[in-house]
Amino acid sequence: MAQVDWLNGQHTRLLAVQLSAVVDELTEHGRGEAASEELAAAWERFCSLDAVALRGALEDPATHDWLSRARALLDSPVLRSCGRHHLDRLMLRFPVLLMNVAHLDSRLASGRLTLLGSGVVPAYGGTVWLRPPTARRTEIRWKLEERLRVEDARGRLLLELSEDDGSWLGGAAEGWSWEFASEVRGMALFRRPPCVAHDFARDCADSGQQLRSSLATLPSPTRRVLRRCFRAAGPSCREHPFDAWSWLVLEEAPGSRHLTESLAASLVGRCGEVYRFGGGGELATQVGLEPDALRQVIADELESGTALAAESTLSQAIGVCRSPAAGRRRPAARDRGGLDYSMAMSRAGVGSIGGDRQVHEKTRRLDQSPSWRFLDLLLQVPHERLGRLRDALDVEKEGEVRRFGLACLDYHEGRFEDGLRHAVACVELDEVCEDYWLLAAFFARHLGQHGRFEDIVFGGERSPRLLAELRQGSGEER
Amino acid sequence: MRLPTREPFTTLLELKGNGALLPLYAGVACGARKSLDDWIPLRALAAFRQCLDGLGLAMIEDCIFERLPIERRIDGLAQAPTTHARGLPMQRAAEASPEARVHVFVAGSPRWAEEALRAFSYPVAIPEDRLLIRPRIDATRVGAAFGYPPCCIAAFMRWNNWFERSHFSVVYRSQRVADWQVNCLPRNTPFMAIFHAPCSASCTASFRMSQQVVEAVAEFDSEYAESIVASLKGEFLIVNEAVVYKLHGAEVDGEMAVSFREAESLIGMRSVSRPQVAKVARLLDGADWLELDAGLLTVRGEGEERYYEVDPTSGWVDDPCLIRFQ
Repeated sequence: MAQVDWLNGQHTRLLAVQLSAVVDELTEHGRGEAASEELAAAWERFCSLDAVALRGALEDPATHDWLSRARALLDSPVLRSCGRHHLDRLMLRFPVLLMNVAHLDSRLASGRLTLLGSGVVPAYGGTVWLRPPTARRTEIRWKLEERLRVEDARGRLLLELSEDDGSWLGGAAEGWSWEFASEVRGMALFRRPPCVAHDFARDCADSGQQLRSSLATLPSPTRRVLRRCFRAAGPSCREHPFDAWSWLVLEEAPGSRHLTESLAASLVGRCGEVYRFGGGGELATQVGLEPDALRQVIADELESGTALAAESTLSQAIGVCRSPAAGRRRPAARDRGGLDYSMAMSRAGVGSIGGDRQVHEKTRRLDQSPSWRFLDLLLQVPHERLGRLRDALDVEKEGEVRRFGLACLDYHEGRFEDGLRHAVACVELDEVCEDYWLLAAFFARHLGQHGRFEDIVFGGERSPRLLAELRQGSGEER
Repeated sequence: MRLPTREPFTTLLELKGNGALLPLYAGVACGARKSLDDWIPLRALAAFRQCLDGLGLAMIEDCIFERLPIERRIDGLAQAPTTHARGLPMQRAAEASPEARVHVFVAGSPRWAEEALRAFSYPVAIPEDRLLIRPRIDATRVGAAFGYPPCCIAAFMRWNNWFERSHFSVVYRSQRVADWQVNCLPRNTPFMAIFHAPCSASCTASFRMSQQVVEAVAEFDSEYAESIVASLKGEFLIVNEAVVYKLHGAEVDGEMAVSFREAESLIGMRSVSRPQVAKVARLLDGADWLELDAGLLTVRGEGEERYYEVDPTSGWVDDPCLIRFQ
């Protein structure tokens, strides 16, 4: 469980990297109004789609308060530009982020833990999000008294965390609170000795040393593998705030073989995610990632299953950087473009069925459920019109629109072999689109290729090798 | 209600750890339906397979289910509100917890088991942050793989959306009294005969399937079959698909009013944690009389009168109705 907790902390930081990249795109790289409007429009569509789920969630007493706050915050023009789904994820996980961030670059003086670093900005309404290292430095103060108190540089309360009977409660100056014990997987890092744990001592003079000491209780070797990962990651990576914590692990703590592999795979995956979501490789360049060296680490150190997942993530990330899409500066985080089927539907005589659902927005994140919007929309198309829709899709000029439309139509009509070929073609056109990979997985499942379904869905494999197998339609599975 | 005391039900009960779907095993064995899906403790899987071999049934594993905390946020949960589990492939069984269960398909033949596996992907959380929701069209394939009546499959595709309507209410609202054979409401208890929602309260295909299942159960354990029939008869209150009660000892006191001894929840879904569930539970606690009037549910008990008014903005659609099966 401790291992899972640690890895979940890693995953949380990946989300923070994503959000950092988004914020950076808008506010630091000067894409300005065009990007803001683009995201605001996408955010509007997203909000309307989620209205039912959000409404239902508001009825839940456990989430009512903070969701109400979130909804109010979302009206802010500042937060609109961040993207609602990023904010959702961040608000759910920000206690974990805070605790991780607190140990990245910290020193304690006079009973207070003072955090200095480029990774944190002042909270807005109790929410903290992170910026990439190019942002200006900001000071956050943490008070360790009976509760953990987070203040900004002017002493204003941002967040207060207190422990009550095994659960953590959070509150901010406005007085709202929520119980997030079940979400605080990362907190186990600091509360559950003797595994990956750091007890937040009330009067510790050096939290860094505290962390090192507690991490030294981890069993078996981790350092060799991690050291190689970090050499592969490049020297400038050490300056990245997300790596400072990992350096502590590297210096001080061994780990089990399984943990070693998990950590290594996670680190590689994180590096890959930095590529993938870092704006066409810019952020990756900033932190000096060296993919060939990382590949060598994967090959030398990891067992086959873990290696495959790590290689898959890294390959996909590299592919994004070197693809024409990256050359056109269309990284996943800012690409909100959808596939527009309104013309095809109109030519097929099905008119305005589904309204704006005739635009299929692609799912790009591994932690989002796939969008079957267009596929589900076909349920409303009269049977006698499906043939005309197929003809209309066949003449679509936009390759991706044509391919995905035909893949969906094949799925709808049970033409699984034809559909798999279209789905594979979609992946070849956009290899970071989750909908394409998952549609291919479902085709494979219907064709009795359960192993390939599991590779994509459970294993998260997105490798060229698997794509080649799907393309060949090989009946022999691994 | 009397749980089964004869084989193979007793062995199935012991291996499964619960009585859910028990009658359907007899249904599959007698051919009333092609297959079913169930969740078997990982540690009991081998013994379970052996038991099925003795019944001449085939089994194929899908994936491992691990529980997630009920308050855990998962992307896509709104589309599959009763699912709150993390999925693991079978090849990672060594990582599973002692409480893990395997999602399996049980069928009258290996071919049908394979058909069910291909057709049905359960929306588990993979990894823990998103539910892998399947395309909606697959519900038709799942229904066909299980052997549900085509009319009921079509009705499911048309009506099953908890945010737009209560499917149960649509089915049963048209009649105040119906045959017990078309009652699917106790489907999450061991005393059931059909799991699918019939297309109507007069669906002859559902009637026939239910009858066949009960007769198949009776072949093994006649008293258990009698308990099933007794469970399917009586007065039922539907609020929505996740809020269904049987009113024990019910006596009619007007067109839409009944007195009763006790209200038994038939939810049976751990993952259902909507406010409506708790609200209705509090409403019926200690109550002995209720009346339905144009969306307003009036309940009396312990010397006081309480109300449950349908809230059209509450997310899941409430559509209260009373139905008596006999």
